[in-house]
Formats: sequence, C-alpha cells, structure tokens
Amino acid sequence: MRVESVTAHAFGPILGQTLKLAPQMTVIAGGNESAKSSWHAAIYAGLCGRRRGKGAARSDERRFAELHRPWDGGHWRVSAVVLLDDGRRIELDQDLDGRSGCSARDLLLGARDVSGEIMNDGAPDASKWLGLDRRSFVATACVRQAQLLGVLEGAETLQSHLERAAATAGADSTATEALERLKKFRHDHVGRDDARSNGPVRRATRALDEARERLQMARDAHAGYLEACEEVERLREEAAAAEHRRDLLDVAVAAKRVEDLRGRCIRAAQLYEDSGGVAPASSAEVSLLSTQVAEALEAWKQCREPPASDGLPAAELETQIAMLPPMPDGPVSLGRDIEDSYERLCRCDQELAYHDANCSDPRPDSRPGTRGRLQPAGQQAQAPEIPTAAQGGKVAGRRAASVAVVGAFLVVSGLIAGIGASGSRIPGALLAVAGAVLIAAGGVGRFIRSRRPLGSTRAELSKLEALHAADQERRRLWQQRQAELLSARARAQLDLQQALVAAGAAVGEDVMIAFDEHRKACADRSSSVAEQARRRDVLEAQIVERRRFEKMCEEMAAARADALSRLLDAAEVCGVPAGSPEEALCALAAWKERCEIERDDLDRRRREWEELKMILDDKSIDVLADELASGEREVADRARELCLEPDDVYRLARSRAMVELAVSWRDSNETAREARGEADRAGGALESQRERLPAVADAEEAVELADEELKRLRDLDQELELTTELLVGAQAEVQRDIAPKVALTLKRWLPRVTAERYLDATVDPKTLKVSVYDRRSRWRSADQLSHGATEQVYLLLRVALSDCLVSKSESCPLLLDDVTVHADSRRTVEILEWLHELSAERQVVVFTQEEQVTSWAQRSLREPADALHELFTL
Amino acid sequence: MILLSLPSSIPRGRDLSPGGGAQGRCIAIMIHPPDIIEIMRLLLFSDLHLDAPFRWAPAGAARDRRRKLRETLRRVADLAADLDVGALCCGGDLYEHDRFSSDTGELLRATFEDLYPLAVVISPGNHDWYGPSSLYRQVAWSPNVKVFSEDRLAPVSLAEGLTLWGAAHRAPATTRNFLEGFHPDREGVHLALFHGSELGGFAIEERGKISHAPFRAEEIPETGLHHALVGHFHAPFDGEWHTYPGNPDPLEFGEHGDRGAVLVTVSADGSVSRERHRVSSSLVSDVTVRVDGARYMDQVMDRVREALCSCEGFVRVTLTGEMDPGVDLRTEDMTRESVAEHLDGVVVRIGDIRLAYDVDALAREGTVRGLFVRKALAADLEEDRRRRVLVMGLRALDGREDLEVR
Repeated sequence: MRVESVTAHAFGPILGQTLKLAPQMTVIAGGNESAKSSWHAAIYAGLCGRRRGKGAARSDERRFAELHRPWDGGHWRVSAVVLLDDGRRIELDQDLDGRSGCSARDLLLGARDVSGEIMNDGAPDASKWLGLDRRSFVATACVRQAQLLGVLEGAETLQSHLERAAATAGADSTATEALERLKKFRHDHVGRDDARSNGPVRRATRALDEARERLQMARDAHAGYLEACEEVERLREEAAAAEHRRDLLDVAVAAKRVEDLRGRCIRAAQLYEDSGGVAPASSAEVSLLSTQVAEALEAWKQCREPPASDGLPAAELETQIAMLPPMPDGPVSLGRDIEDSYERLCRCDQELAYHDANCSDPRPDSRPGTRGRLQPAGQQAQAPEIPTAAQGGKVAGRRAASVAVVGAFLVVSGLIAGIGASGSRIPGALLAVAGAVLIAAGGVGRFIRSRRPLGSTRAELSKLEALHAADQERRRLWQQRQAELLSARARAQLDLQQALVAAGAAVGEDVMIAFDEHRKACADRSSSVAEQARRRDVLEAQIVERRRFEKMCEEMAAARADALSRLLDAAEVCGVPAGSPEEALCALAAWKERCEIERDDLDRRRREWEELKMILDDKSIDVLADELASGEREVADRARELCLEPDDVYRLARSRAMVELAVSWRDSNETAREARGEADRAGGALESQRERLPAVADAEEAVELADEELKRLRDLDQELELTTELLVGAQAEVQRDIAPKVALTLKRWLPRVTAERYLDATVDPKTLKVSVYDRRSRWRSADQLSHGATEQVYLLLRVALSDCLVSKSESCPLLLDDVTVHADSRRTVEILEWLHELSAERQVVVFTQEEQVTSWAQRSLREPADALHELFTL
Repeated sequence: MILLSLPSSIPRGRDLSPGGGAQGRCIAIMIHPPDIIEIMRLLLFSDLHLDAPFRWAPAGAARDRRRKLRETLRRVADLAADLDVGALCCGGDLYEHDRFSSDTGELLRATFEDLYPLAVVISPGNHDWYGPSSLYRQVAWSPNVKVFSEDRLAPVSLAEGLTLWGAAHRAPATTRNFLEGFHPDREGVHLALFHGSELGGFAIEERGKISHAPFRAEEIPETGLHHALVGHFHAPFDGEWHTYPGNPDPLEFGEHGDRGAVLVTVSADGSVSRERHRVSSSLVSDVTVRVDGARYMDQVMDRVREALCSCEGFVRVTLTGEMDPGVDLRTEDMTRESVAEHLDGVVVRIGDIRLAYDVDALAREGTVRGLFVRKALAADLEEDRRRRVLVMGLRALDGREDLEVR
C-alpha cells in the first residue's frame, strides 16, 4: 500500500491543503511551527481514522484530539488516496468529528464503498489491509517523535511497546497483559468453587443450593398438603360412611315406625269395621251376675253332707271317766331316806365282805349278819384256818379256787340280775359284791398255797415266825377294821329300819326282808297308778275328738243350707228352674256357661274398642292413614337420598327390633359425630396449611434462574480457561516464530545503521528483549546502549516487526517523524540511506527538521519516485 | 328432543383477545348446511395449566404470566356465557396438581359457579389428575359442575339423544387408552371428552411430549363415537374425528395456530362444526431484531425499541446480525422498562450475532492475536462457544475489561 496524497480539510492548523507523497521516499522538511507533526498525524488519520466505538476516549485519543482538532473549530476532516498493491485505488474520507459518515471508496470501480472491508471501531481503517489496525500501525509503521523521546525515559517502555506489536501488532495490550486480564477477570467474575471461596461461582452455587432447598421445601410442603388432603378426604369418607350408616339406621327407625303405623292403621281399620264405630256395652253387669252364680254354684259344689257318727257321744265318754277306780293309797316309791340307808348298808356289807376276803384272822368272825348275807342259803362260811404248809397250801389252793369260782358266779349272777330288772338291782349288786369277795378269797388262798413249807429248815422257820408275827399284826389290823365296819353297818341298818317304819312299812326282824317287801309294795302301787292314768287319758282324747266332730257336722249342715239358699236365689235371679237343688244346679251351670261366652265376647269387643281408641289416640282413621302415607313418602325420599331402595330400608327395619335399631343408631350417631369432628378438625388444619402453601412455580423459576446463572458462570469459566489456553499457546508459538525473524532482520541492518559498531543481535522470544553484539565480541542489552543507539536499535526492531506482522500481500508504508534526531551525522546518513534503500519495497515518509536530512534529500532523492517537500512556518 | 337455537344476539366467532371486544374480529365461521339440525353447542378448551411455571421469564414476569392464565379462564367462562352454549367442556390440564396455589380451587369454584346453571364438564388430565388430594375432590363444586372421576369413559347426558362420555386420568402417568374396548350402550349421538395423545400424524408436531392415554383417530368411529374432544397437545388441530383446542393462553414462545376455545356445534347426525375463538388474555410473540452495524449498546437498544413499539403482550427478542465487536452487549440491561414499557414483558436473547471482526484478516496476522484467532477457528468447538472464545480473547488483547460475551 502506498499513500498518494493526503488532504487536510480541517486538521489542526491546516485548512484545505493537500500533501502529495512520492511512491517510494518522501522527505518532508520543515522547521518549528511548520505543521510538520500535524501532517504526520493527518496522514495517520487519513489512513486509519478515529475510533468511534463505545466507551470514553482513551487518554491518547483525547490527547490526539486536543492536538489536532481544527484550530478554527471547523469540521474535523481529512481524506487520503491510497494505492493498494492489488491495484485498487481507494479514497478514504475520515469524518473525525463523527458528524457524517466516513467512507472508503474504490475510485476505479465507480467509487464503490469498500468501508466494510476495513471497518474498525466505527471508522474505515486502511491499516487493516496491512493486517494491522490503527493502533498497531502507530506501534510499528507510524513512529512519532514522542515515541522516540520516550526511549529517553527508559528502554523498558519501548520494549513493552514492541512486545505489544508482537502480540497485537502494536495494540495497547501484550499477550501477557491479556492473559493477566483473563486471569483477573476469571478471579473477579467466576472465582473458585470451593467452600472457602466467596466468588461469584461459589455464590451462584450457594444460591442454587438455596433455591433448590427452597424448592424442595415448597415441594415438600405441597406434597405434605396433598397428603393432608388425602388424609382429610379419607376422614371425610369415613365420616360420610358413618353418617350414612347413622342415616340409614335413622331411616330404618323411621321405616320401623312406618311399619308400626301401617300395622296400626290396618288394625284400626279392622277394629273399626268390627265395632262398626260404636263402643260395645259393658260386661260388668253380666259379669257381676255371672260371678254371683259362679259363687253360688261353687259354694254348692263345695259344701258336703255331714258324715254319719259311729262312736260314743261325748257325754257318755265323760261318764266313763267319772267311773274310773280311785288311785291306790301308799307310796309308789322307796323314798330318799330308805334308798340312802339301804345303799349305806349294802356298801358296809360289801366292805365287810372285802375285808373278810383279805382276812388274816383264822377264827370265825362274829359277824353273823354279814356272813349270812354273803353265803347262799344253808351254807355257813367257815373261819379261816392255818394248815400245814403243803396241805394247807393245797387245801387252801383248792378252797381258794372254789371260792373264786363261786365268787365269779355270784358276780355274774349279780350283774345279770342288775341288768335284767331294774327292780332287782340291789340283790344283784349284793350278789356281785359277794362274788367279788369270794374271788378275793380265792386269790388269797392261792397266795397262801404258793408259800413254801414251814419246817424245812430253821431258817425257814425263822422266816415263818417272822411271817407269823407279821400275820398277827395284820390280824390285829384286820380285826380293828372289821369292828369299824360292823359299827357302820349297824348304824346303816338302824337308819333303814327307821325309814321303813316312817314309810309305813311293816319291819320285822330282818330289816332287809322288810325292805324287800316295802320295795315290792311300792312297785305294785306305782303300776296301778300308771294304768289308771293311761285309761283317763284315752277317754279324755276321745271326748275332745268327738266334740270337734260334732261341731264340724253342725257347721257343714249350716253351710249347705246357706249354699242351697244362694243357689235357689241365683236360680230365681237368673230365671232358671229350681225345682230341686240338682235341677237348679244344672240350669245355673248352663246359664253360667252361656253368660261367660257372652261376657267374653263383650270383654273382647271392649278390649278391641280400647285398642282402637289407643291406636287412634283421639285421631280419625283418615288422619292416621294420612300420617302413614306421609311417613312412607318420607322414608322413600330419605332412602333415595341415601341411594337406597325403600324396600331395602323396610327389610332392614323388619330384621331388627326397634330397641336394637335405636341402640345401633345411638352407637352409629356417636361414631358419626366423632368421625365428623375428626374430619372437621383435620379440615380446619388443612385450611390453615393451605393458606401457608408456598408457590412451587415461583420456587421452580428461582431454581431455573439460579441454575442458569451458575451455568452461565461455568460456561464463562470454561470459555475463559479455553481462551487462556489458546492465548498461551499462541503467545508461545508466536514468540518462538517472531524472535528469529526479527533477529535476522536486525542482524542484516544493524551493522550498517550503527556504522559497524554492532555486528549481531538476538531477541528474547519471550520478552522480545534485544541484545546486540559489538565489535569487542560482547553481548549487550539494547537498553544499556546510548540513547541514540538504543533508538536506532528499536527503530530497526519496529521495521523488523512490521515485516513480520504485516500481511504479505501488502507493503506497509513507514511514517517517521524525526527519527534521526539523536543520531550523529554519520549514522544519520546511514539511516537515510538505509531508508531510501528500503523505500524500494515500501513507501517511506520522513519528517525532519534537520538541515542534514534536507540536504541529503536534495542530493539523493529522485523524482518521481522520491520527493522532497519543504514546509514553511505558519 | 330438545333443540337449542342460537340467540340472535350472540356474535359468532367473537374475539375475546385483548382489544377484541364484542365487535372483535372473527377467527373462523362455520356455516351449517340448512338441512342439518343442531342439537347442542359446546365450548371446548383444555391445557390452560393454571399455576404453571414460566422458567423462561423473569420472576415478576412469570407471576404476571400466571395471572394472565387466570384471566384467560375468566374469558373462557365469559365466552361460554355469551355464546349461551349447552355446556363448557374442559379436556384436562386445567391446573397443575404439583403446583397449585392456595386459591386456585376457590378461583375454579367461583368461576364455574358463576356459570350456573350452564353445565361445566371436566375430564382431568395428566397434570390435574384425579386423586384423593386433587382440587377436584377438595372443592365444593356447584351443582352445574361435573368432574369425571373414573379412568373409563362414563356417560353424561347433555341433551336428549346426546351423550358425552368422559374419563379422568387417575395418575400422572401410565393412563391407558380410554377408547380401548369402549362401545356406547345406548342410541343417539356420542361425543367423548378426555385428555390423550393421538398417535397419528399430528403427533409429529408435539414430538417430545410424553404419550398419555394414547389413541388413534380411527379408533373413534370404530368405537361408535361421533367425535372426540381432546386435550393434551398444545397445538390446535381440527381432525375429522377429533379436536384439539390447544392451550388457550401462551405457555411458550413460538406457539402458532389458532389456539383458544372451540365452539363445537353438534348436529343430529353426529357431525360437528367448529369455530375457534381466541381467548388469550395476552400475546406472546417472537421478534427478531437485526443489529447489523451497531457500534455501541445504545444503538442496539434503539433498534430493539423500534422493533417493539408495535408489539403487544409478552415479547421475546432475538438479536441477530453483525455487530461491532466493541459493543458491550448486555441483554440484562434490556428490560421492559428500558425498551418497551407498554409490553407485558420482554425477554432478550442472543441469536446469530456476528461481531464485526474481520476474522479472516486477523487470522492472517503473524501476531499472537492472529495465531490465537487461527487456533480458535481450528478448535473443536460449537460455533456459539467459538464465537465467545474468539471475542473474549480479542477483547483481552484489545485491553478491554468486558471480557464476557453473551
């Protein structure tokens, strides 16, 4: 691309002037205030225009506007005509104020607008045909005086500027800065997604979690509400079922009543028809008469003829009592004194007998009474003797055995006698006592018999003597006792005798005989008295019985007479024949039977009438029928309300008793009430729950928004990461490619430009930092050279970069403003020569105020390829 | 037979859409042949989806959309009353079971009660399925409301000789074909009202929608039905044997066709004629705005304003075209208040936006930027992501801070 001309319609101090440029090298010389820099800027503006995009103007843009706006306030406008390497001739019209449109028109194609090809930030930018833009063009091909002066402030600035050129062909940002910007943006706008971070993505994650939680809560609440709805529905169904059951039973009760009413209606109609609507007569009168007849008949039936008498009359029996013999004179019993005396006497005899049986005295006792009482008649007791030992023992043994046998006999006899007759107890006792004595005597004899013979030895004799002495002592004692007993017996005998006498008994010599006789006489009298008493008692009982019988006969006769009278009276009242009691009886019985039938009929009709009255309850049959019809309608209606057939209800009513239905109804009513209450309570709670129901849709939308935001941030994160990755790769690759090319270009021109002071150069691929190799074989950083040398090195670097960066299809013009100002005269010439040589490949425009440069131009430049323009102070 | 005659005061095909009014424009007019005696007129609607979420809308706008759905229900009811139809029929998805709000039940109850004695017949769908906890069970409906509750077709006699057979979804999914094994058990004209998926060619339009209670159109005459009034597909469709009214109020962008309520006139021979009435309470429309040559955000917003000035309702704006890369495009700044206050809502999305980078020229650069561009172009990326990565990198190299690309 080559610039043919630039027209500054209004640009800084320039107004309506055109500057034509040679195709190869143009030197524009002028002193101070000759608008040299304005023209430099005008060419740049004519080619690249001004950014008209969004945002506030940057500082360099503001500075550019301050410097180059028309001084007279006119329309800031500049145009240029460029010739592209593809042959097109383009006129660029830059409205720098933005009042009207900018354009790029192809002059060879009828001024066709080609702005679209090079539009950049709202204005045509011809540097885009070079593969640059207006900012990178400034960085590489358009070297302004200020930038050269900037070298003086520090080589780092220029180095950074070149790095930008490598990254973006001179835009403001280096690749490193771009990466740093991406990193910062990622940190600020995405952040890390971990628990400790509070960056946007973390906040968005939390927001999404919270939104999801709120959504879950809303859904849970909604689901809970739905479950509660189901529960309430279930409770309501249960309540409805219970109420249905209750209502069914209620209708069944009503149906039961209707059934009952229907039965009453039927019954009432029947009763009414039977009665003819007239109350029946009372059966009381008939009933009373019937009762009288019945009583008369019953009385007659109940009374009997008095029985015939077959015994003695009472008076005769009383006579027989009066004729009974008198009672015998004298005692009928022994009396107490006699019995006591007799008992003492017998006891004394027993003691004496016992004493005799234990006798040690061989002499006969002088107690005749005792002995006589103890021995049987004709036998006298023998006094005990002392026999020889052997004989005596045997004899004594035999005697003792005999005595014992006799004694035993007497005891048995006595006991038998005592048992056999109470009247002979005393003699029996006596016989027993005597027997006992004899047994005792036999025992003593055996004792004596058991002793050994006396004369066997002296010792035995001594013993016998001792025994004899002992016998003597016992004899004395025995006699002493016998005397005492005899004395007591005598007193007893005397007492008995006196008692017998007192009782009027005849007492002879033997008081015992007198006693026996007296006892027998008493027994006889006693027997006689008893017989008479028995006879009297029988008679008196007969008298009592006879009198009772006689009274009964009298009463029966009276009752029969009365019954007959009533029977006849009844017959008369009833008008039946009463020729005889039997006739009256039969007639009355027949009458009574008829009367009872009539009375029963009256009673039945009367009951039916009462029943009818009770059924009607002061209502008419029509009213009752109306009530029945109304009841039936009600039951039918209510049955239909319950979706039932009335027959089903009546069937239920008939299957149960009213009481049972009532109980069931009460139970079901209670159940229904409880179920309804529970359902209502649950319904109330549900209503309250419904009022608090959260909006699920809102929560879903909130989740959607939060999810979208998180997705946006994650997409952004991925895109930032991807962009960074691509940019890092591009940066590394470009630096690897550009650095050798730049170094090669530098190496080719550096010795010439620096007058062979520096022979070689290297470029750090990462930082684009330049090092030069001097003639002393030392590598030095370009930053450490003199200002002029540094400026020259970086001028070469710019040109080298532009060679690398500019599109290969176009050549890039160089617009240089006072680039040799810090070079010495030799290097100035070398630089100008180098530029002139370079202008064969690309257009070079050099602005200068140096006389040496102007002189060189006048000498070296050849028109029309080159040109020298001299500007004059405005 | 009870013959219903049309009141002369009822305007046919009345448009109840905003601005329609009593003298609104007619969407479609079906003229009955004179020899066909009509026995009843029904108003059909379905898929209102009360309380549905609008995930594409900002929070406030979403709530506004839901309010509009409620207004549409009112419009449907008003239309039924104005047309003096024999019954108002709903083909399901009247509301969303999983999302209904606290007053939805009362809204439905009061709206339908106001129509008394006009019959309202509802066949619950998969979104408002009939269950123990559904609103249909909780609401104390007025006597004129009939909600089908069985998962088999059950009859309702609408007029002498006209039976409407309806069924309910009893679960949110797995509902079987209602027509399978069905035959009317009586004489006369038989219509069906249910929520189901027709498996024929029409289903193509609703691809992606789960098939509920699937059936084929040819099954309708085979069962002995004269016509089926069906909900589920949101696109309107007038088939020979069945009618989908479509969702009466927009739920998504890009919905086309005459959606709304359908006046179904049933003739004595079982044939039906249909008039579609727009009942939506708002419009939802898509607008594409070209941003070619825009150099800054204000220019883009000006173009959006210009494009929206003649729109109404809720508008989704899609930005397309070639735009200066320097434009700091922020869709979140383009709110209803900033671009079109007269609209119900605005959603702006980035469409085929091309930034006016000369990518080819940049790619030819020997710079890091050029190589970055070449690498980005060569990377295996989706085009939209490639665009964002490219712009992001270029902005970073330009020294810009607004690196995020929408």
